[in-house]
Amino acid sequence: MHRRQSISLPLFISFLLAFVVTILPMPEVLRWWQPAWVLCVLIYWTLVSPDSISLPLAWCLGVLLDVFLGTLLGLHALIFSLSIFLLKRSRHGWHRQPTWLRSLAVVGVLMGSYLFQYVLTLFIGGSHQGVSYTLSFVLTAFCWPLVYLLLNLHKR
Amino acid sequence: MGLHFRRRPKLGFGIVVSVLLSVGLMLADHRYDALARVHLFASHYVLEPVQFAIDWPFRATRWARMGMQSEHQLLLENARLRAHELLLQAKVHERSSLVSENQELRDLLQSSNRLDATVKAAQILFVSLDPGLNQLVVDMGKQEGVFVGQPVLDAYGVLGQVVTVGYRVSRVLLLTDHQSGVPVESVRTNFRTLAKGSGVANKLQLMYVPPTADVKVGDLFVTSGLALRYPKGYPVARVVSVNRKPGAPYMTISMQPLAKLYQAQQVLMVWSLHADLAHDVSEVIKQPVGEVSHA
Repeated sequence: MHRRQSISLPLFISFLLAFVVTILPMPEVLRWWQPAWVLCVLIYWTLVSPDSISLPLAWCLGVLLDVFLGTLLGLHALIFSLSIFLLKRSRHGWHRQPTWLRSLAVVGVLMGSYLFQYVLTLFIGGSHQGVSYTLSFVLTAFCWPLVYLLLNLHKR
Repeated sequence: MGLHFRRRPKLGFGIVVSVLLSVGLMLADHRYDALARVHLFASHYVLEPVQFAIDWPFRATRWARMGMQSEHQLLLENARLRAHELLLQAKVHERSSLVSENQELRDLLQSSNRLDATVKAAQILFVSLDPGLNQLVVDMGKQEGVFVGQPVLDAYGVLGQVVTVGYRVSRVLLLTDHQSGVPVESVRTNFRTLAKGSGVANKLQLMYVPPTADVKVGDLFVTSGLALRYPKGYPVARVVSVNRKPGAPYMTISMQPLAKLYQAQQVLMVWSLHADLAHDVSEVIKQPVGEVSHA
């Protein structure tokens, strides 16, 4: 119980930061390169302490992101909850697994979520910018170690 | 171990519920647009304050720099602006004489095709942050008489058209959205065709141009007014590149829109005089060819 309390503050701060960075005003060109910060943070906490992230929380964060981004309401909610479900379902003790397996899981989940988003937008009639999605995906994959290191600071 | 068995079905139930909820939300948002207000509320009370706060240091430095600007510089700029204003004044006079002359000529020809339309300025409330969505939300709706398909302009050219109307707000689809198409004609050659959005910022595609057509880089395209949706003669875009591929039925031509799609604060909503004709025209088009020619 005590452990959970100590983690809730870093959890809150990290999500707040991820949202702020996401909605930062920036030039149009850079927006395509914007990594999926919130998803990164979400995956991090799911791997490090699976009990702190529940499906309803992931869902709510997704809806919040949709509201901010102006995307179809429920799009990111669906992606987030599916990603977290897959991560949680595949293994119980992610925090006890070796690093390479965790990185593999991260890349897998990211790839799945980007593909899913692409297919969904195709159906809804959103953008057809396949290449640009890849840009963001590659950058997210590269930013992952950064997120990991930054968020690991809270352990000190 | 017992704990794990208790968790598993709960997780499965959770995912089913969240998938259903998300799909329901998406359908509701896609179909009814009732959730535009939620977007609006969030942008007004959360997004704007955050962006304002983040922008604060930049604004402060800009303000400080302005304060430090020397008097000499300001005087210079003032003089430059005065000269510019004079020039614009002259142009306005020239234009008004042209307008009256044009009016007379049209009267002579007894043509009903006039440029005049009612225009109101609307404020942009929300710009979609997702780069794949080229949409705006403006602060006018049914209350002000906004209708679906209404053209929206800015000071430089056509911006887009209204796609959904709420009571006080409405959504504008920008020219560059891949779902948008505008009937245009070349100012130089009067060649008529369609300008389609590419989904990429600041890029339009000119459609169905045969390789024999006379289109050059730098050509200005204006609305042709043929769909009766956009008023005739408003600037749309300038040709940036022309690509002829041997054997292809059409050329690949990209254009840059003249409207400042991503810098505008205010937009102009246009009530065109021909808007009420659009319905009749679509009825006529639906009829078989024989009947029209008899009528």
